[in-house]
Amino acid sequence: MSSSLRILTFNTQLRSWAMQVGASSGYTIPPIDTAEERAAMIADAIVNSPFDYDIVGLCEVFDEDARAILRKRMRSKFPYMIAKCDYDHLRHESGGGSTTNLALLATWNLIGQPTAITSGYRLEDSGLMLFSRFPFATIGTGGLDPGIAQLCAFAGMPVPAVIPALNFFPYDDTDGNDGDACKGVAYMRVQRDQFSPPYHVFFSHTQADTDKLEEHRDARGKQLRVVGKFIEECVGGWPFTEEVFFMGDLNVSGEQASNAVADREWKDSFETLGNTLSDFMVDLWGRRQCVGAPGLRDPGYSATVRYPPQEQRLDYIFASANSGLAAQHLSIDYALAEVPPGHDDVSYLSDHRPLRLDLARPRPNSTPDTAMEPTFPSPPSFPVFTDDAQWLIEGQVKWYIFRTAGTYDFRLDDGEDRCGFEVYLDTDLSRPRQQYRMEENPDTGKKFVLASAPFLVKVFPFSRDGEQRFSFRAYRHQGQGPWDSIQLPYGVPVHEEFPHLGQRLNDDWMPTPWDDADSKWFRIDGPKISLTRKLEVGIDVKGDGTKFGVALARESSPGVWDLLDRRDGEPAYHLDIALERDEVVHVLVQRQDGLTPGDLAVDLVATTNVSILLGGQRGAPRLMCQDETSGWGADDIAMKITVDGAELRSISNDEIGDFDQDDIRDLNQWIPDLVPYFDGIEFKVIELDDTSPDDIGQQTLRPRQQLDGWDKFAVTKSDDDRTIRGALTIDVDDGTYVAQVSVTTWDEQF
Amino acid sequence: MIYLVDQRRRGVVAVETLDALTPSSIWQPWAATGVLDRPYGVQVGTDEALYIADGGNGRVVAIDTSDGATTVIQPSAAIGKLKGPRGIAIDGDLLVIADTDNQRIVFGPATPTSPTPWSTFGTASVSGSRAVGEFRAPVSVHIDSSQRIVIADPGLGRLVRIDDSTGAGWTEIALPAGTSAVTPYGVAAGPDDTTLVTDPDNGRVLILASDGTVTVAIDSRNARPRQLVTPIAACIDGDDIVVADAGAAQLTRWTPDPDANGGAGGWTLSEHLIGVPGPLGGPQFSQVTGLAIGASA
Repeated sequence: MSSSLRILTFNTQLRSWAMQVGASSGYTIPPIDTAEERAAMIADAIVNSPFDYDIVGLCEVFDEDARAILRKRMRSKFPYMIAKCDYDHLRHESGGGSTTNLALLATWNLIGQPTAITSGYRLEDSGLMLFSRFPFATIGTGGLDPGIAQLCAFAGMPVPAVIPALNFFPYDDTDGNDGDACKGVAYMRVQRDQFSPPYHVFFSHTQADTDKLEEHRDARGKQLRVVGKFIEECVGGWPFTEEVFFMGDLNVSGEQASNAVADREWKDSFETLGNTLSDFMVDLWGRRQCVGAPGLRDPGYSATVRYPPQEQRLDYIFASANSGLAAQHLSIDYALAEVPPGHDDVSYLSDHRPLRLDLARPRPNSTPDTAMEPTFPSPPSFPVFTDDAQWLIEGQVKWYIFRTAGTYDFRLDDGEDRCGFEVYLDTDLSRPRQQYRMEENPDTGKKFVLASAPFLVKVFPFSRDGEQRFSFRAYRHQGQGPWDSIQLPYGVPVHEEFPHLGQRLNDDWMPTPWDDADSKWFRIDGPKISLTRKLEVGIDVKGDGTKFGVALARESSPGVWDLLDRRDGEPAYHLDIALERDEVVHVLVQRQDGLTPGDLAVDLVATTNVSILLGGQRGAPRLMCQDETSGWGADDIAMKITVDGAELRSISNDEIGDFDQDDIRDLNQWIPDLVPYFDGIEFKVIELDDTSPDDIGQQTLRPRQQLDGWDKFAVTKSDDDRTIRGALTIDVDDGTYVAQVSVTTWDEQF
Repeated sequence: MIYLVDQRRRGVVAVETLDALTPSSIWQPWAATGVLDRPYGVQVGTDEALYIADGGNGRVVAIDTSDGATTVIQPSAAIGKLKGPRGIAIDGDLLVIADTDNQRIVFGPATPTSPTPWSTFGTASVSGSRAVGEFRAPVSVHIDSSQRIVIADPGLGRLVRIDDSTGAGWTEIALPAGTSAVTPYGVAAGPDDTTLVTDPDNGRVLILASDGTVTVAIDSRNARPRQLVTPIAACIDGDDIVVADAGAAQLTRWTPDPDANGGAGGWTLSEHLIGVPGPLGGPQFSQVTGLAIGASA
C-alpha cells in the first residue's frame, strides 16, 4: 500500500467561443478560439507526464468540446472524474466511461451544505473538472428526505441507493464578469483501496480581479469563508482525521509567511486565526515550502496578469494542518505548460502554469523546508560530505540544503541506477540547475556552479514503488589547483577564504613554471556559443587580511601553462582579458605570507560586456496584450526580435495569432535558451492593418546593468545570481503590449 | 420559425420555440455547392428561402426551405467578388449585402429574374477616417419600411442611413450613450416600422424610429446575473423581441412590459434558450452569428 500521492492543479483557460466573444472589448467575431486544440495537448501532456499524476484539478474548462476532449483523452488514466459542476447538478464518470448527473439537492442533503443558497442559473457552469485514478468513495442514500428524492427524480436526476461522495456548492457572492459563471467549490472523496482512508479533495476557482490587485477582495473573502464551511461540512468537522486538500486558482496574490504584509488579502485569508484555511489548512507554498527569507525565497509565480504585479502566485494547494503526509515538493510543471512540437498555429497552453505537489509518507529531510544541512570538515581535511545508506520508501525523497554559493561536485555513491538528484536554487524550486558543461570528476561527481545560496539538492527514486537505498556525496571546490578551481560566474561576487590558523592551502604546483604556492585557483570560461565579438572580461580582486598577489594563467596545451599576467604588492587588483569561444583562463590569488600565513579573505567579481536573455523553458518569455489597440476586432500581431542589430526571429501572425486584451502567448519556442547580447534586443510588435499602414511598436531591452530602475521595465523578480525578470513595455498605437523576460549575466550553459 | 446561424455547425438552426425539448432542424447548402465557412447574417426571402452571408467563402447562399435547393449568389464581374460578407437584407427584388472586408455595400437582384442591377456604394475608411460614404466594418444592413437602407458599422462605431444605392440622403444616426462606447452591430425590422439595433458592448437593444431618433428597448446592464453578454442580432417576433447573444451562446425572448425601465415601458426577459439539447433533442448551437424570423415551416 503506497502512500505516494501526486496532485496537479491547472487553470487551463479553455473558454468557449461565446465567452471569448464576450470577453473581448470590441467583440471579435469570430474570436480567437484554440480551446479544442489546447485541450487535446493538455490532456495528452497530463496523461503522459513522467510525474505520474494521481489527482488532477482543471479550472476554466468552459468550452463544451474541450470538456469532451479532456474526458475522452484522460479517461484511460483517470477513470473517475467530475466532468461538470453547474448550479443544480454535477456530472461525473465513475469508471464506466459514461456520465451521470447528480442533483445537488441530494448531495447537499447527504454530504453537506455550508449555507442557505440563493444563486441560480448562470450563463456558464463552474468550469471545474476533477480527475482521479482512485475510485470515488460511496455513500448510501437511504437517509435522504423522500421529498427531496422526489424533487430530484422530477428534475430528471433520480437518486440511486448508493452514490459517489461528490458535492459542489456555488458561490452567491460574485463581482463583474465572474457573475456569468456558476463559480463554486467542488468536492470529491476518493479512496486508493479498501485498506486506506479516503482523501478529501476540494477544488475551486474563486473571484478574479480585473484591473487592479485585490479589486474584488470582498467577494472573494466571502467565497473563501464558504469554502471553509463547506470543507467542514463535507469532511465532518474539525480536527480533520483524514487527509484533506484544497486547491485551485484562488486569485489571491500569494505571499510568503516571513514577509507577508499585514492587512493584505493573503495574510488575512490564509494566515490569520479564525479561518478554516488558516487554522486547519495550510497554504503549502507560502506557509511551508517557501516562506521567504530567511527561509526559501521562490515566490512561486503561476500566472500572468495585466495589472501590477504582472506575475503572481494565484494557484494554490492546501493540505490539512495535521496531515500525515509530507509535502515533498511543490513546483510549477513547466514541461506540462509547453506547447509540444508540431502545433505551429498554437503558441500557448494557458495564461496560468500548472502547480504540482508530490506527497509521501514523512521521513527526515523529505521537504525543502526541513532539508538536511551538510557540514564540511574544515581545512586541511578534504571538504567532502557523505550521507550513507539512506532509504527511500515508496516515492520518498531526501533534501539537502547548502548555504554557501560556489562550485560543487555531487554524486550518488550508491543507488544511482535507482535514484537521481536535482539541484535547485532557493529562488526557483521548479527548474533544476544543469550540470556545468557536463564536467564530472570520477572521484567527487558531477560539477555544478551555484551562483547563489541557499541552494538545495533533492535525491529522489526513479520508481514510486518499493524501497531504494542511496548514498550521497557532496564536495565543495577549494581552488587548490586547476582541477579544483572555483568558477567565477560573470557579474556575481565570489567570496573565498584561505585556510586559517597558519595553514597553507597548497604547495607550489610543479607543472606551472612560476611559484604558485598557497594560491587559490579560480576559473573563467569563454562562451560555449558564438558571439559577434570577443567577450571582454574585467576581474576585480579585493583582499581582507594578509598580503596577496594575483596571476592570470592559461593552459595553452595539455600540461603547458602560460603566465599571462602577474601582479603583487597592491591592496586590490583589476585584470582585463578578452575571451574567444571555449577559451579558458585561470585567476590565481596567491597569499604571500610565508609558511605560517595570516588569515586572508578575498572577494572577486568577473564582469563582462554581455547580457543574456533567457529563452526556452529556463526564461519562459511571454508576450501579453495589456491594452488592446482601439478599433475593429482583435489585433493582428506579428513580431520581430532583433539582437544587436541582427534579426533573431521574425514571428508571423499565423504563428503567434491575434490578440485580444489580456491575451498571452509564450515566446519560448522562438527564443532559444540563451540569447547573449551586448547593446540591446529590440522587440518589435507589429499590428497588421489591411487598410492603413501597420502600427508598429518597438522597445529595446537594455543590457542587464541598465535594467534596474528603468521605467520601461517593471521588475517582478530579482535574484542574487543577477537574474532579473520583468515586464518590458511596448506601446503599439494606442495599445500596450508587454514582453515578460528574464535577463542575466551568466548561465551554466553559456 | 426562428433561424439562427451557428458557425460551429456551419448552418442555420431552425428553432420553433425557446425550449430545450422541441426538436429542431438545420439548414445547410447542398453538398455540391460546398459547406458554409464562417456564415454570419441570414434573411428570409419572400419565397421563404434562407439567404445566408457566407463570409469565409465570399458569397451569398440561398437555400430553398421547401426542398433544400441551393443557389449561390455572386455579384457581376464588374462589381468584383465579395470578401467576408456578413450582413444581408432583402426587400422584394432588392438584395443588399454588407460586403464587410471590402468595406462597401453591394446592391443587386434578389432573384435571377429581379430587374435590380448590381452596384456598390462606399469606400474604405483609412486609419479611422469617417467621411461620408466611408466604411470600416459594415457588418449588418436593413431595408426599412421607407425603403431606406440602415447600415451598422461597428468598425467606426456608427449607424448610418441612406436613401438608395447611390448613397443619397446619408445620415449618421445619433445613438444614446452607454457605459462603453456604442458600437452598433445588428440591424433588423422592429415594431411599428422601426429598426432594431443591437449594441453588444453595452448589452442593449435600441430602436431607431423612422424620424431618426433612437430609444433604448432593452438594457440588461444592471441585471444580475447578466441577461445579455454580447447581443449581436435581434428580430421582432409578434410583439416580442428575440435576441441572439453570441457572448452567452443563447437565444432570449423579451416580452413587452409596461413596468419595464422603471415604469417607462419596454421589454423584459421572458425566455432563454442555450444550445445544449435536452434528453429529447432540442436545438444545438454554440457559435451564434446571425438571426432571422420566418413563417413557420
